[in-house]
Amino acid sequence: MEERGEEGVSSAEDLAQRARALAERADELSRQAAEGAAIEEELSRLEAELAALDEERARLDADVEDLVSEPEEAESFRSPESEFTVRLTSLGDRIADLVGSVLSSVSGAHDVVEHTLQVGGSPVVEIDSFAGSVSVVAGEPGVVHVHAERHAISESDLEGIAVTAVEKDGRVRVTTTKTVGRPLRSWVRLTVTLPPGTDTRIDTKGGSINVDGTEAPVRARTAGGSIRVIRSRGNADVQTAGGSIRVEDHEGIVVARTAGGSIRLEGSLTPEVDAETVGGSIVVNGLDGRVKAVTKGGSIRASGRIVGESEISTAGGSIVVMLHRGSRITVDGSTTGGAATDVDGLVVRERRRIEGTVEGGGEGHLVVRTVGGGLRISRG
Amino acid sequence: MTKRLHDAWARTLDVDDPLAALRAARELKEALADHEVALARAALAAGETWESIGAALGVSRQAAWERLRRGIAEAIEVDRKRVESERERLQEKRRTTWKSAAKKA
Repeated sequence: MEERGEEGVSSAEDLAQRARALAERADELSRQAAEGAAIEEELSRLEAELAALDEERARLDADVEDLVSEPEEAESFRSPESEFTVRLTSLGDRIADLVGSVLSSVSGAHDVVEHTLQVGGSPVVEIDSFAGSVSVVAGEPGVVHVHAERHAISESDLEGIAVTAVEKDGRVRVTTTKTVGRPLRSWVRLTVTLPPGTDTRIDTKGGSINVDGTEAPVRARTAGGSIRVIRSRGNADVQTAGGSIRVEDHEGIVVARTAGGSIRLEGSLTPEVDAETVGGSIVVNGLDGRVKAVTKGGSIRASGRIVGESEISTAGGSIVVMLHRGSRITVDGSTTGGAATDVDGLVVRERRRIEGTVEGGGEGHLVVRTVGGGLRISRG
Repeated sequence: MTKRLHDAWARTLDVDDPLAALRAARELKEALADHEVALARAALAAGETWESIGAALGVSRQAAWERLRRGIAEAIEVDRKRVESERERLQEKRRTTWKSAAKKA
């Protein structure tokens, strides 16, 4: 009995010790997560600063392209435009490959799993991945093909990754799940080829998202990574917890959100664009309707026909708005830097405000605010 | 920058020592040239054009661009290097943090 009693005490002490150890470990992980988040935030701020410098470089020769002589071009300066693109991509890739960078320090295992489904018409395709990048490309009508590269630290972790593709009631659901194993030990690089015109919804818990040529609505969510969408139609609704967003050749509405990174939207963006980043520049080309473009740090360039209740604002950076014909709006712009305009109907007051009515107004109101940068509203 | 201009200007006015004043005049010109670059950079950031900068200086936009463009590009490069260096430091810190987290996971 005494022995059992001592055993009981020993077991309780052991349990208490393990609980303490677990609590300490949880504290440590929590501290590291907080530190990681602070680093990401600071990196996002620096990326925004670099993007602003790239834009400043690009602007340097913007209105004197006819003066740029051959010797100047022959200098070893990198092209500001390409530099800017690289910068946008690098931020996304940096976060997108977070899981990969952690795993790159160890020799891992990998293999490929594939599924092919015959589908009728244009089903909705939902893709849900526990970790890793997702690429979606338009292929042949009637076929959904899934190519999944499974990656893990060890063979047993690799076997713990499940990749499924199921069609039900006109919906195709592609999922990757981790059935066993601890976090950050495995991920999947997913490529899904689907019929043109497929409405696609993508969700990954970490990794970049690329959608190319679907010519249909896209909804994309990533918990960390860049998003790039090319040639989509209808609603493009894209959100990342950290990384750049690029939407090209889109026709329709765009909603873009990132907690850190630049946003670039191009196409025929109608009737509405809603872009918001916590840190990074915003470029919107091809507006035709209402616009909301907000950044907490970075410059903004917007061009197109603007109507409806619109807002363009940054807490740190310059704003350039190019108003195309048909922008029948009133304008209320203010800046702490200099203000300039050549648009008929708009006037500059005390170099800090731009006010007035464009083309008679009546179709909307544009509010423009910048702190720490210049404001220019021109005819596009 | 402003202090440098003020100091050089004050010494330029010292007529008791003409040679020292001439040296100061040279410094004043250099400081003024740097100041012009900074002002033109701020003007461009505020949305001004080389046309309007040239008009303010009383020269053509080409003359303004040729005079100031290189200095502004260099100033931007200096800022870029500072930010890139800070970014590299943070990236290294992040690598260390995540490797450590992965080891413990």
